Amino acid sequence: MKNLIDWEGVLDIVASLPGHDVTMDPDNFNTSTPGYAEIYKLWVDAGVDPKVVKWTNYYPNKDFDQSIESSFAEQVGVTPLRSWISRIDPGYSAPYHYDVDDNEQEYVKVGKLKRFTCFIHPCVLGQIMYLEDKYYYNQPVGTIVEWSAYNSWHGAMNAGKESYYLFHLLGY
Amino acid sequence: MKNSTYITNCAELVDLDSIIDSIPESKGLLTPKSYDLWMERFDKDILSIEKCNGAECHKSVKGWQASNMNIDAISVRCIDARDMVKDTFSEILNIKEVLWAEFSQSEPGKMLPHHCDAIMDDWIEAGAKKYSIFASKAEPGHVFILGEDHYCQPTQGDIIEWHDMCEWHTGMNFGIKSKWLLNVVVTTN
Repeated sequence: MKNLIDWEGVLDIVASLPGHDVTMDPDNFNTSTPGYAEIYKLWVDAGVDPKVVKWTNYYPNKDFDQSIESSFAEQVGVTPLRSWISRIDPGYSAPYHYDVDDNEQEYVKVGKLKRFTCFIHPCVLGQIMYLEDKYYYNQPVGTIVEWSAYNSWHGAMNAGKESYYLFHLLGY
Repeated sequence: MKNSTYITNCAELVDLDSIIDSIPESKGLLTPKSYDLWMERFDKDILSIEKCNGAECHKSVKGWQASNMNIDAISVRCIDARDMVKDTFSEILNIKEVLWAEFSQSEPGKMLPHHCDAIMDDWIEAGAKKYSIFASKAEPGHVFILGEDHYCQPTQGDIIEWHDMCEWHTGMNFGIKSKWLLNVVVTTN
């Protein structure tokens, strides 16, 4: 699929912003939502060190232009519900999990949900995403993966020497 | 694969789960918990060894530090396995002498970023071979990168031979089970 978005330009902007960190800090991780509690317990039971879990999210309108979401949604042929850019810094990970969304019940009412991930940074050795029994690494910028199910189990880790950026879209 | 060759699967011949279960939790050496301690260990244990690629290994840690790699994630437990390898793998790998053998255990969320191992000049001169044996069951998030070869969720018991013992490599575990890898350097008959 042709790359219609200037991802380099987008990253130039978001890389200078603090974004919104997601960590295993119970104050940060909303364990009152059932899905969050399940994932949190899974990680705690597995002995995951909270100091290694962190990713940083950037959102349209707040951190990057809303038109990025619109363009991408048009490209993949869906109506967008939400999008974000995630950043994992060197030495951090998002261990095995599925995404939990406070608005999920609202979203499923509007139609069949579709989820996409786009690789938006030049590939760096040691940056890997796992999704539905497949591993994605060395992906050219602009590579888009459509998920089989919006709530599939996945994970990602950055053992590389640069920050690892992905763009995500949920739509219908 | 570009930097390694698949040799065989030993799972039917070797009960790797039992071997792993028999290793006491207190056994082995954990990697240092700070960059200062890494450097200290290099000065003491690696750089002082003659006829070794210690200086190259040293670049590994310098590289991690330079990229501000989260030190809390860099953690592996290394357990000497020379006797076990001699007893268990001599026939499978046609071993003449075990020069070095180590289990490495990586807990969920932990990694050993891009690095090279300490390799003695003597081993190269002796024509030694280096193998990796994927010891734990295939689990999501278990990854081993050797040069450009990516082994993702490898099958338990698979044995690969390194094309170059000094090849740079990376271990990663973003799953929810411990990852066990057995690395050996041997001469063969």
